[in-house]
Amino acid sequence: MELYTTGYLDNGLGFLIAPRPGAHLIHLAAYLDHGVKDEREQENGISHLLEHVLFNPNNLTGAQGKQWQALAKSGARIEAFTGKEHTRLGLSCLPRDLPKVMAFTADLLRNPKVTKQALEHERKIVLDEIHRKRNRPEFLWTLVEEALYAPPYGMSILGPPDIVSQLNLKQMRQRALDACTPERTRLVIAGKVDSSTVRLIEEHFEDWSAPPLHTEYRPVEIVPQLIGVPSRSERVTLYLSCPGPALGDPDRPAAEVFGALFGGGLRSRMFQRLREERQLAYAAQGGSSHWRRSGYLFMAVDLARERVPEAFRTLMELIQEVQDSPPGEEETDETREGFALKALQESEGPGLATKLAQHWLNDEVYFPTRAARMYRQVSAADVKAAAAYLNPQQMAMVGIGLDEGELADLLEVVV
Amino acid sequence: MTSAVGSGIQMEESLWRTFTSLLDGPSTARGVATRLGRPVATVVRNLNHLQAHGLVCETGTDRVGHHIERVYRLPEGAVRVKDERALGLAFHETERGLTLASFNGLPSAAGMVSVCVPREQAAGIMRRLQQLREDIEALQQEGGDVKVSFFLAGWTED
Repeated sequence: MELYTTGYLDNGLGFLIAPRPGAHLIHLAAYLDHGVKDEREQENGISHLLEHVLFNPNNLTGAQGKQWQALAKSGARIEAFTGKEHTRLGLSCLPRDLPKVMAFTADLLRNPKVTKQALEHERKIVLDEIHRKRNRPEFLWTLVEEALYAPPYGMSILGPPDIVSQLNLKQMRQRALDACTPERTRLVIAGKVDSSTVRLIEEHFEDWSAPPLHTEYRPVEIVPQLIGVPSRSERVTLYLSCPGPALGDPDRPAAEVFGALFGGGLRSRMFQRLREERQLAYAAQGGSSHWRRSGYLFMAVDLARERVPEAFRTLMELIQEVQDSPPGEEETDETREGFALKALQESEGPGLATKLAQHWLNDEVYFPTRAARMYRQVSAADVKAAAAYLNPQQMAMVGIGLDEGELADLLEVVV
Repeated sequence: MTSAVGSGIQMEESLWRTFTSLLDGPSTARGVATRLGRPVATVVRNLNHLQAHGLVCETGTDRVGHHIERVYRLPEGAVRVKDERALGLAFHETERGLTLASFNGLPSAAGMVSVCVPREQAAGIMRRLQQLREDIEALQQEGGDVKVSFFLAGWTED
């Protein structure tokens, strides 16, 4: 049985407490409903830079610095992350340190400090991170999202170097106040914890106030594009993506099962056809990714340059084939059971907090057993319907090693 | 013909087809792609190219399921077709426009006029036709409802 305590404070802050039997630690994560989705094009990268400035413990000074030093001595750990839809501050600690961790988290969120020194320090680090990721093909898969969506979802998390170089102290301070508000905050506390933690939350966050949010809801814009990153290398990597269901969409479990059947693992249709039967590619995989407001199905193929046209044609034929003769009950059974098991397995590991938070940001409560049940209810007919998401006509393409014109030629010839 | 400011763009066939598909009215990239039976990504590429040259502009968005898609239209004004490869298509589009006008009961005085003139007079006649077009355009209100399209072009018979 999964038993959570959830609620909202009067100021809009949401909390979810998930006790886990047998746990030794407590994981407290503050998820801010703030990320790339809240950026304008001319300030792309501000959320990620802000996360560095606010949550890198090396930047903490004064009382916040002392608080962290005391926690670190007790073995507490801190991590942070910025995504398209949220920013996360995560802390792990021994149960006895929870009151201190709660006080520390409250102070960081309620008094976000952006100093000139921290900004310049983190700017250099982030610029180096941008260059590192831009120059290594293994990081370029993120272009798949840039190829499928218009801004803001089609913008990178790190932002372009010229914009990150220009973000100033005033902008950063204002952004910190906009991002850290009770209405945007969801606290997820999992591990050796119980419902009495609510009192601790109230104690530290109840009198936190901020002007109400007036953000305009803007649906995600789809603009499939071709992005080429030419090179002289003999190797080429193709990333293809099609719009898919969002996290809360009833089609999502079936789309995940279909994505795995089509491209997940060594027995998938993509791997079998492209590598095992035709020896056209070394790596061939696919799957799906789902956010709160959108989702997509993707395929990735790593291959020799001269095999690109044939491999692409084969892949398009395979897509047509899977739509004409989709996976049957038996094939579906095994994969959906795999997803059900994965959902249950997650409930026993640190990934649970992320799942809980992702859904809790949508004001939905995630139960691993219910998720497993949803996967088990996916039928072969559902998978067949989900196969329609893989529509080559609406496909975005990224070619690492190819230029835009070569991608257009591939697509025009085959589609 | 509605639309504007050609500025040195090379109107190869796929660009021209994307452009002329908007003569039927504003559309999303997906709508254009469906009309033409082409991939959306290449249509988006064409639309971006046309937009950069002022030949297409955005006119809001359409809701498609949980997502939105940008809607494109031709800008106000007139198009100068300078690439002779586009001539056949322009001719075809004009014929189609006239057929539609006739079908919809628009002024029956509209029709296709073809006049053969000596080569040495062609440039002068074309200038006068262009002047006529500018006079017609001057009569139109900005955003006015254009009902009949006129196609002015000169070509050499084989």
